[in-house]
Amino acid sequence: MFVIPEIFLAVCAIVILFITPFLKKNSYLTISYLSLVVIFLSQFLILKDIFYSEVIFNGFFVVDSFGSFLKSLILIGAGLIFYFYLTVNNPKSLKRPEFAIILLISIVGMLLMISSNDLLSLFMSMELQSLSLYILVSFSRDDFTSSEAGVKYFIIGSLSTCIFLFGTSLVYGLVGSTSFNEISVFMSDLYSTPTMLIVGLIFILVSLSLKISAAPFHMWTPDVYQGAPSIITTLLSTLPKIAAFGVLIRLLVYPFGEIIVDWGKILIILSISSMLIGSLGALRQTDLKRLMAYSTINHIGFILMGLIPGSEDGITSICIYLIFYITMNLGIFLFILNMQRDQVSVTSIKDLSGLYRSQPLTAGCVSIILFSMAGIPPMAGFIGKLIILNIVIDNNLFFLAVNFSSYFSNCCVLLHQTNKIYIF
Amino acid sequence: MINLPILPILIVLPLIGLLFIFLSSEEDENAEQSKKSALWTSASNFFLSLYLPINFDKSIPHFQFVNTFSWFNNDSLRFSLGVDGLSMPFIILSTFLILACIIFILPQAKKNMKMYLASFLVLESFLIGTFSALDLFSFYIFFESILIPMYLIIGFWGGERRIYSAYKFFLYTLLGSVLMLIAIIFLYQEFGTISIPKLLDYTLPFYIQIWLWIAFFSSFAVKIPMWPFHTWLPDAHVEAPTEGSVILAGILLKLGGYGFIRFNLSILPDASIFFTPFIYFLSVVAIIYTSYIALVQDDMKKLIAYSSVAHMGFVTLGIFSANIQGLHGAIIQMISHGIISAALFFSIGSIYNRYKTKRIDFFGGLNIKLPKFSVVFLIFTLGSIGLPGTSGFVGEYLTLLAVYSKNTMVAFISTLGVILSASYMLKLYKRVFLGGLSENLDKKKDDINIYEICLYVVLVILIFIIGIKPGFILSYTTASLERIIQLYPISIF
Amino acid sequence: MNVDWSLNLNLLTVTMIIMVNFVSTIIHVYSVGYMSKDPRRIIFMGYLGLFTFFMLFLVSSSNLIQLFVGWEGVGLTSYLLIGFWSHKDEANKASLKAFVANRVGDFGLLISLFTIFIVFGTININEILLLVNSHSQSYFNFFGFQIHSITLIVVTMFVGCMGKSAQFGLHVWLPDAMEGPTPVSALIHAATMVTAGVFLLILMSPLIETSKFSQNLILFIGTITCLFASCVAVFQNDIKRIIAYSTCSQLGYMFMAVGVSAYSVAYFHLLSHAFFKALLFLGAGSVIHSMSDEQDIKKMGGIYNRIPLTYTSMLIGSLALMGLPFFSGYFSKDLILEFIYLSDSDFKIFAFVTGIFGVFLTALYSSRLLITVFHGENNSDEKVYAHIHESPMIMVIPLIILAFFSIFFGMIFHNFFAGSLSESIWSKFMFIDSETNQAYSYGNVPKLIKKLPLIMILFSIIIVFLFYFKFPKVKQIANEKLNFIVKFFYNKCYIDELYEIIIIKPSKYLGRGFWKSIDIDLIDNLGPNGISRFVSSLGSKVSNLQSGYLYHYVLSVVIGLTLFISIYIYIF
Repeated sequence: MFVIPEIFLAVCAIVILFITPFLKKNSYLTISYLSLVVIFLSQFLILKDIFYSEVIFNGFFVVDSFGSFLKSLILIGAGLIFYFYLTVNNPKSLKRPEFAIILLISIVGMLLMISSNDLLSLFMSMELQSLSLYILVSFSRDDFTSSEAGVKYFIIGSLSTCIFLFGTSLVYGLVGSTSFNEISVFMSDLYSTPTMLIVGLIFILVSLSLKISAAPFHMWTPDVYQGAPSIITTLLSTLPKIAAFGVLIRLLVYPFGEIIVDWGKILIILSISSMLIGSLGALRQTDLKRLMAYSTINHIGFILMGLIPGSEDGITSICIYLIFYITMNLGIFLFILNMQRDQVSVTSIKDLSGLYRSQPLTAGCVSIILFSMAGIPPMAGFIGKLIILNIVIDNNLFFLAVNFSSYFSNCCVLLHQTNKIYIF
Repeated sequence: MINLPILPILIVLPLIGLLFIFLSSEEDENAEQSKKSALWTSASNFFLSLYLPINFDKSIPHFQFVNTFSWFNNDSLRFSLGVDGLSMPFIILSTFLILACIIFILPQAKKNMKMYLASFLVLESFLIGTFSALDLFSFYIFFESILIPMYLIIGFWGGERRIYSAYKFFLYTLLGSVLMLIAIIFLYQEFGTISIPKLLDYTLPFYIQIWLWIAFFSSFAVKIPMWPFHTWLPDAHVEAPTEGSVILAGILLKLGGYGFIRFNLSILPDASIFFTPFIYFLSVVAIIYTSYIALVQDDMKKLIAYSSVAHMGFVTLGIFSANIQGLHGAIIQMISHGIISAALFFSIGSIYNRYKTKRIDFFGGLNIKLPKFSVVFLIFTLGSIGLPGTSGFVGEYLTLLAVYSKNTMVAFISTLGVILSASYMLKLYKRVFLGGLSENLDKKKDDINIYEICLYVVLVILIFIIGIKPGFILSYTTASLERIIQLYPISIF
Repeated sequence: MNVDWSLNLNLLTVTMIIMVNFVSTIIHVYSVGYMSKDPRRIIFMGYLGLFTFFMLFLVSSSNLIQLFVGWEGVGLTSYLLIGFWSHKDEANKASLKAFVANRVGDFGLLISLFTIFIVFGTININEILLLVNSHSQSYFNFFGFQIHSITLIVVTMFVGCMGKSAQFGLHVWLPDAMEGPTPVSALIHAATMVTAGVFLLILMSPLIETSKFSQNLILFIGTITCLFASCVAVFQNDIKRIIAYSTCSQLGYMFMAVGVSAYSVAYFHLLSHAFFKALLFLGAGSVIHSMSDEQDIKKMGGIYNRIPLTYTSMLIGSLALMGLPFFSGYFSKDLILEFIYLSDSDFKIFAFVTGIFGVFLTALYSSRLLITVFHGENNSDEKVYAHIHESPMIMVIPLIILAFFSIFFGMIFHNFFAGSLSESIWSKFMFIDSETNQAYSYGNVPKLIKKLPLIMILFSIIIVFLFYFKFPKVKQIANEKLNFIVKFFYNKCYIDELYEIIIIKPSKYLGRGFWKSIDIDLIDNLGPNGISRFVSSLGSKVSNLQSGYLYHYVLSVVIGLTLFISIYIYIF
């Protein structure tokens, strides 16, 4: 049984849920520590069998090293987020034991998403993940912005679910199965692809684009990122993206690998528009969290590029990029979580001015991260971009141009922020 | 001879110095301890770098002191360092100028002195890396990395409009190099190698060369800078602190010229021939146009900055005339400009430290207050003018000679720059140092201190040595340059 | 390209070295007295030494690069010495002007050096001269035109010489250079540096011989300079400026001689001129010294008995300059005129007539100078007048030595430079036109031509005497009636003003225009600033898409979805 980590996590989550009522006040700390331990353990379980691969549960799930890699990445991220949650000064409304439990459940959802080998199981795990996230986003329910963000996220998420289901039904109607294996067999036997199948795929793609917030389906991102509590934004900007990319890669490359020409073009549009909107939108932002939303959109555009050739190299480069991406994002968000002025948490960029004088070390680290996000050598962000660019350089020139303009304007944006943090 | 891995040592040593700086806990603006560690680091780096010329085999055109490290687990992606006659002088120049800068900083007090010194050491490491990189990726990485410390130096310790200037500097140069990155990746994909020595053996189809050439050009033309990509330079210079200007003019601009020779000329010769008239045009415009602008400047640094653009115009002329005189001239011109413009910026720094202004109108009759300094400054001025006997002359003469053999009109027009440079530099000297003492100044003498004297004397000596005996630099470069020339097709331009 | 530092010593260079060292020594001695009260006299002497070094370097160099080093070096020391009194704004301006004007000349010389290297493949002077014949028919692609290469070389080289030797067009710096201390004027701007141009042409004489066009050009420019400078000299009031213009015109004579292939004669005039012009300058310095630094000749007068030694030496110098028989100027200048007469140049008649007229004018301004400074009424204020005294011996002795040479140099040496002897001496070192030379030694010059300069001198001296002593009123009336001419020449034919209008002001406008309109308004505004403005406005547009209304977001999703599907169906 190689879904042990997921099962373990799920069971633990339920157990913890049952423990909660028996604990005294401030139980949230105990719960969180427990969850951290659980995450460590499941990480261990994943790493134990990282090179193993097998199809399980009648082809509903698959365990392979690609999935295990992403899963362990998610668990590392989750562990760090728990760590942040425990160390930073959270608003009171977050200091509740449910927080950790729901987070754990959403992580179970993410892990299952990555393992899914069937549209149905994929749908189930995606919903598990999303529903938990809806709750988390509106967790500080006394806070108006948090509730608003929660509603927005929920409605857009439901829309995404609808679209996904519709796409799934189209695919099922044509193929007669929801299993990836079956779809793959069906596709390889085809002489010409039915239009409706591709329409169905487009529906699924759009739904997933909503999850990874690729433009033009990004509209919810800035609002939700800004409105949600910072620790949740940290979560939103990192872990679900990894899971969604895992799904995207598994779905597109394996069952629909035959029609790469068709979805490749859609990915190009998605990627270009994400990069442009991400970098342009970030230019005039005054709120750091909103800025990070656009930065995420931009990065998503970059990562999508790696998928376009559909090759092994491309997937490898995406994995590498994802590592860098979550590292940088977690770094910045840790900083945002700690941002305070006069003992009040702030997220506005202009509150950063003069940071260097008060906290030179922090400022130095943050600027290094920002330089890295901008992709300036010798930082990791540059290597990530280099690897992705290396994959797509054969594609057409226009694409490249947009690519580079985005890279460039991305640099501008982050430089701008560095200035604000560092120089004033 | 023990086989010392000299280049990695040169790159890592400044970073070790950096460690010492950060380990010291002092916080004040003087930071004596950090200054000392920076001084020792840069001095030892400079003296270590002399290992290169001493053990350099002048007869070999290929790369020497090669060190290779695996980067990815991949044979084609290896990180390698090495020098040939082309890059070696620049490494010495870098270590020398950084040392000079640190010496110049010694008597000063600045906010965040530790960070300031650290930036210079990091810069040194990156500079040496850039000049000694033997593969495209590490070249690019070092090349771009330089932007960060330089950006901080301008943006943090600069003048009034430092933010704008730092931005402009950063984005201008970045925009250019992003295109170069495409070219580098393309080369890697096309040939499966990023090693520069290997790339020299390939011949690329003409139409590909054209695109690659443009990509490399966009990066180096901004860096060197050529007209019309030069507008970042005056702003950056005016706002940068003295030492920042010194490094900017002294070494950073040379990266452009170095890149032109290393990539455009060596790897893409056919396209270079195709674009030679274009380069000639831009260079000639740069020489004349910026000289005219320099004539009407009110800010000393801006004037020198514009004159730098003009001087670099000679470099590009020399490089793309692609004969031995031209390349020799370009190298001498770059090194001489590295020393002279550095010296001029140091001098302006000396003035600025005393009177807190760089406006030419403010001064007058300064030779009464600073008699020794005025002599030194005059020598630098004359070097910049290109008076025979100083290093500036050798570079200008050789480059112009080279161009003259290719295209008389270009040479003719750019020789006019010689007249203009005399006008603006001597006008500067006249307005600042000669005439009656300005009302803004008192009669008290405050001549240069011992640090400055040491520095200036060394610079003056260098200017004359290179001017009188350029051969001692050229003897190192000749073999490598001749190899480039041999690979270069005969052109009609 | 291989260049070694090396020296080239032969009769030509050695005689030049002797002259330079001799004059330089004398002027060093003189300076000790002249500059005795200046606090920076040590630096002054240092500069003088530096100058001598560069001058010797120039003269003795075996290749043209080295020569160029000396060439620029003397320009530099000239710059330093003109601006020696740096508290005087005029001096600073003059020094700057001198340097820049010289640079214009150097520009030509540089082009010439480039062409030489490309045509001959060497810059060693002796090698070039050996190769001249084999390249006499070669052509060079210049600006797309095929130009006779040696003509190009010589013409551009001559531009360099024009700058250094203050020929018409590039002469503007020389009169202003008189702002420097007087010994400087004597050494640099009369005896040595300004003759470097002539020296260079003499050195390269075989080259010049192969290009008829450039010979004509040299002759023409020399003639124009001679005429122009002596005309202007007549109307100047500054004692040093008069002598400066006179230098200019004498250099014109030398170039005229070069233009008619009479190199040895040009060299002869160069040497003799060095003595008497140094003498004149030092004399003028002595006068200025005794007149408490007054330079305006209108404010002098009647002082000959107060400073007899200076007066005598000035008299000797002037007479030598005029070319009165038996003074050295007589031999050298008359030789030039005779050689012009004998030559077969196209401009021969023009040059000869102008030369003769130049002699007239020379005598005119020299005698005017002498009369207004030393004779007639004294016009200085009493204080100055009371203070007039003979200069100390250390200044007078150099005058005496130079006076001796001004008298006897021509007399002793004239046979060495023209006639049969000259060919055997000089033909190894410079081109000697043996036909003309023989014609000269056979006495083919008519008596009248030989006597013509003398007649002109006497004529002009008589005129000056009449004007100043017999009919002063005529002079006044002439002054008033011909005011515009006087003004025209007094203002140096408005050439400075012309340059101001056509070169300096446009440069400033051009610089400002390039800077403000192109650099800032065009490149910056369209380039970095424009792009950043554009991107930033685009950015705010993208940000504004974010309305915050949920139904907008949902709509965008629906639109995106339909867009993708329709794109897929209709386009792919």
